Amino acid sequence: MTTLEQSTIGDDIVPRKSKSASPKRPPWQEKPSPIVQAAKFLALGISVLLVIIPFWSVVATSIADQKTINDSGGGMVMFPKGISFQAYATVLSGGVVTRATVISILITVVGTLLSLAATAGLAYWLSRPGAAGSKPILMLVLGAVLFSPGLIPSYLVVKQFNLLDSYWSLILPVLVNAFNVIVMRAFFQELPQELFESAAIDGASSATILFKIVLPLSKAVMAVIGLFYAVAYWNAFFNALLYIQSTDKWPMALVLRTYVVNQTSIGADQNAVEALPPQLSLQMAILVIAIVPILVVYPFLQRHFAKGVMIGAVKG
Amino acid sequence: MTANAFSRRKLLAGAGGAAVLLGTGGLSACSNGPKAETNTAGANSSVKLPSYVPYTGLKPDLPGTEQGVDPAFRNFPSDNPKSVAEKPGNGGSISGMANIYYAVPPGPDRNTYWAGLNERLGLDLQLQMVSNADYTQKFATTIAGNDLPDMLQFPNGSPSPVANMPQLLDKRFTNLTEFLSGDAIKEYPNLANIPTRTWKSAIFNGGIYGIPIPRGAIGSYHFIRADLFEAAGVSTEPKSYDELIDAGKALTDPKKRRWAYGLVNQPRQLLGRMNGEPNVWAEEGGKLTHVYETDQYKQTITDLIALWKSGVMHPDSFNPAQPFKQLFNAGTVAINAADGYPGWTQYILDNTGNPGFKLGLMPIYTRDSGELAQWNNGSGVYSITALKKQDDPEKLKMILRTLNWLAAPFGTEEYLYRLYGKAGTDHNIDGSGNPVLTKTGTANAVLPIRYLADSPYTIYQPGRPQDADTQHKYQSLEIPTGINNPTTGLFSNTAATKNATADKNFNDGVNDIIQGRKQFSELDSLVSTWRNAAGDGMRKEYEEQLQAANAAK
Amino acid sequence: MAQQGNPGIAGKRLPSGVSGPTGAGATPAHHATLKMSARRLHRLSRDKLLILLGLPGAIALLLFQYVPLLGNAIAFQDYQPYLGFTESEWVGFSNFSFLWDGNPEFRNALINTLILTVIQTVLVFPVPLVLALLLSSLAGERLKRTLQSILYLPHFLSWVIVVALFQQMLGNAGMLNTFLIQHDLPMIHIIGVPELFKALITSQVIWKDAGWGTIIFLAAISRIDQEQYEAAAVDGATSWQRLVNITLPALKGLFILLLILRLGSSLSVGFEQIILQQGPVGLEASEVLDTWVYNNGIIGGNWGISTAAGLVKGVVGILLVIGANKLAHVFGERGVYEK
Repeated sequence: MTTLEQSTIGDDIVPRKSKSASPKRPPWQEKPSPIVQAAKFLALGISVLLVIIPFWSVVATSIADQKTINDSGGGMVMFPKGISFQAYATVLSGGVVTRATVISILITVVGTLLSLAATAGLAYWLSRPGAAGSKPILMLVLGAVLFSPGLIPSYLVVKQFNLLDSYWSLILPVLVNAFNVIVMRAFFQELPQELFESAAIDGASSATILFKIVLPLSKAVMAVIGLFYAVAYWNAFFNALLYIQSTDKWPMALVLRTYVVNQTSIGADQNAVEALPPQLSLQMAILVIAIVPILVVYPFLQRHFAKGVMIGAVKG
Repeated sequence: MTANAFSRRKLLAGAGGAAVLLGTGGLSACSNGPKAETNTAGANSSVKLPSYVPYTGLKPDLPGTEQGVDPAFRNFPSDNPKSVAEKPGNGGSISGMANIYYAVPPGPDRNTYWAGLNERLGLDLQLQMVSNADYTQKFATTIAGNDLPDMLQFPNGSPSPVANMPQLLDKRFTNLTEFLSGDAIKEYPNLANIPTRTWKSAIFNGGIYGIPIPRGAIGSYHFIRADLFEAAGVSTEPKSYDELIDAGKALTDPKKRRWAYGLVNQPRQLLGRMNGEPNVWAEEGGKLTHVYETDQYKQTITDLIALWKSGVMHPDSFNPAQPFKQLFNAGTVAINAADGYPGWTQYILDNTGNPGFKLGLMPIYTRDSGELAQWNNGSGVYSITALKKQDDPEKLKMILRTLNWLAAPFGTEEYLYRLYGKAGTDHNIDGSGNPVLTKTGTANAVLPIRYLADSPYTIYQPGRPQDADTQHKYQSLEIPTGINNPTTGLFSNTAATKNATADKNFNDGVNDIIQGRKQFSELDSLVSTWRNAAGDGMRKEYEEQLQAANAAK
Repeated sequence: MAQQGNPGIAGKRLPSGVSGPTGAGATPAHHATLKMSARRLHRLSRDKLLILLGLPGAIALLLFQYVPLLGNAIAFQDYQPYLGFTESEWVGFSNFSFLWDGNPEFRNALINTLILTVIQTVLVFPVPLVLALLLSSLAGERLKRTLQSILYLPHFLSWVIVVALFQQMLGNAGMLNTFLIQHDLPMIHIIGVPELFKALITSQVIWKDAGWGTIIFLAAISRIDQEQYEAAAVDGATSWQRLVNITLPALKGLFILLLILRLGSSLSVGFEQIILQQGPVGLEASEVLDTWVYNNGIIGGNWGISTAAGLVKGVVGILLVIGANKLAHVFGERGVYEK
């Protein structure tokens, strides 16, 4: 984690802002033409609306009562009249969802850290020109992007390693995503090669180069790949479905799925014993609950790739 | 991006969910395997089915009939006799796997209901539960990994969509004949309370290979929103094709988002009965004709073309993921003609806060004779539970005793606990003596044990005694006109492996015809494609078994 | 470069190696092999730390990707889960017969897949880049971040939900059409129209993943040296010229890399998304390879066919990646891997 701090410092050193100019725009940048500006905002504005309206509807439906949903024809609601948090209360009662959330957070944090470490190590190896074994291993990685093993063989391997019903079965089989390795390798390759040369002349080992040069300069891609992993861990339900036997160990995504996929089962064997809040509200409520942690974490990662590190600053 | 790549890896595999979601049936485990040699019709028809000893400890308000009308209770019995004298367990543990439809309950450590159940069973019951939509996937890997639980629910369906089921049962599961055949079942009186007709679905390889989860003969109800019928001023009992069409028109008003039907299979089922279609297969002298091959079916499709044109169907009726239950609750559609009969309970509960809601059941008449149309009975089973091979016969007996406990009939002490848990914690008793689940009970008591063993269905709606009469009356009206699917209880490997696809392709073409994207004349070629892909194969396999069974009689 | 520094050292050390090239009686070929293995050995010892760092990831891939991949041998079996690999019957190439038996449904699925792949590669693939450029051209840091955090949200909805949302909004009885009907306006049929199916699928993909896709490009943009822009601006380059001459060239390598990887999965187009929406439009318009495999292999539990199809897709993917990568090299790009 020191690497992140280092580059944050580097970030601040950059004499980018001039006090006289507008705080937003660098001094050398001209004022954009009003037409271009308007077109830009229109395009972005429409895109944002296209996202916000359905999401608003998700939230509105999650707090709607049965009457509001019925008035809207049994579908999604835009403006809830009768507001009810019953759906949230139901979803959160019994402790299943809260427990699953804790499990998911743990798996996501541990998994993402391990995945990032393994991916960065592998990508670094493969990114060094002429490194021993890097050619065949790169092909191995590429092959893993293109061929996926079947359901049953994967299951048997996990079983063979005695990982069934263990949280490790949710991490180890997906520890390294080949796609992420290739992307990260591409970012590593674009780092200025002079840095490696001078470090090598100074007698730095490959580990030193990784930790002192590569990682500090790759904050953005680490944040992005970390996010990819985190989101994949957070959303993954299928491995848990196959590998986790006790429901006590279910992650959030699998619990969420039982709410979502069963809604329309035709001729389902009903087992209703109590009046629940409208199914639709329940589904939307659990969707909201599942998204909130991501919303909370995202801004912290975002600053790393939305702004990025100044290579010039490190060089200078 | 990455997450896509991430999940695509397993997407094909994960698709089992979609199958059930789309109503196309489940997923089976394999394909044309080695031919069944032990699963011959002759061997199967010589199995002595378990004796049927109905439970007599409680008298229903409205009795069931031999034909298949379910018994009904207006209120929960105040006297709850014990049906099992001794704890079935010896302190050991047994494991089971079954599907669930709702949110999972908390685990055994944090679930007083589960702990209480273990206490009553005298053992540690370990359960794996998987949402119904994903069950067949989990089932396949469980079989492949050969780490079977002691009790395993086979994927639901009739036949269960598992390829080479007889061979699979033979290799991995216990032949229960010596424990359950004939009077031997009297050792397990609650299992003996399961009607004979349902046991046929558990017969393979000349033996009894599982415990059926019994369901009512009625299968489905034609649910209607009686309040909407009344508001539209039409009879809730349309007695002819014309009356049904007129009712549909009166119930439809797109400006108010109101339609008569929400999914195409619903009017298809109504019209099929009205037109006298067979119950999937028609048998005559050991020869089978499938409904798709009949003139009645052609009539139904002709009617559906007209119906679709007239606009009484919801415009998204061909979307199999249509949330038809929500639409029905909202009054967007008024007729919900093809939902399972236990849906009654669900609709009543869903609409407790919906004052105008009035649930009704619509009988179906023939096209123009004014007579009741025939009723197509359900298969009578939800699924079967097979038991893993055990070295120790004592353990096997313990498992059977446990299943016997779980199958305790309606109103017994065991049943009360199974569904409603402990008084004061999981449920409270209301003024009329009905158990009402508490919040704790609702969260905790949804263990899928009812898919490992269950008692025969009993009509009962807590707090609404009149509902017992409504449903019982409807069943008494329809069941006498009922016809069975002659292949119920028979296993066809083609049906288990090929028919889901062939049927999907066929219905896809029929939907095109109904919507006018294909000519009606193309129906014949659709039928012959279906016959080549699965129909004729199924027919052959079923006919062999039927003829052998007839010969044995 | 590090690599250039090292061969020198290697040159120095090699002659004193165990398998010295002066060994008597060594044939030229033998000689060469020895030299090669010695060099390899040396490189191994030189890079051992590097390899140590990368090995955990490589081992994870081997164990959890490649070992189960051996199980794909069931493509040549009539695989039965209860029999397992050892007892299931070997059936040669019969599971691959869909490739040559002229099945019209398979051909239809293949054509639909290719059309969708072309549409999605041309229309969908560049959207995140354009969006990322738009976002990064915004001056306000806070505005940029806020917009971006809104746009990436749909990625977190599963396809079941996305499809349901589209149905609710644009369905024939959805919000839009209800509004139209209530105001006596003609309905707009979008969902359930076979001709519009591919457009619908494509717009859903854009809606769900375009915002998410910006992330990787934003990361690449953030690496561009701000001094370059400043210098160009001082030299009088307009913002358009700066975009064309600085930003785009800096993103080109990544764009091509992602494009090649996308080509590798050409034969997979949105399985779950499509299978959920086949009902209303029919199979003719909507069947793609993955749904065909599902409908004709997986539903019937035919593991052999579905595995065979997976192998075929992988092989096609490899050919496309190799071809595209060669092409990239011709144009002087790095591609996914170097020559």
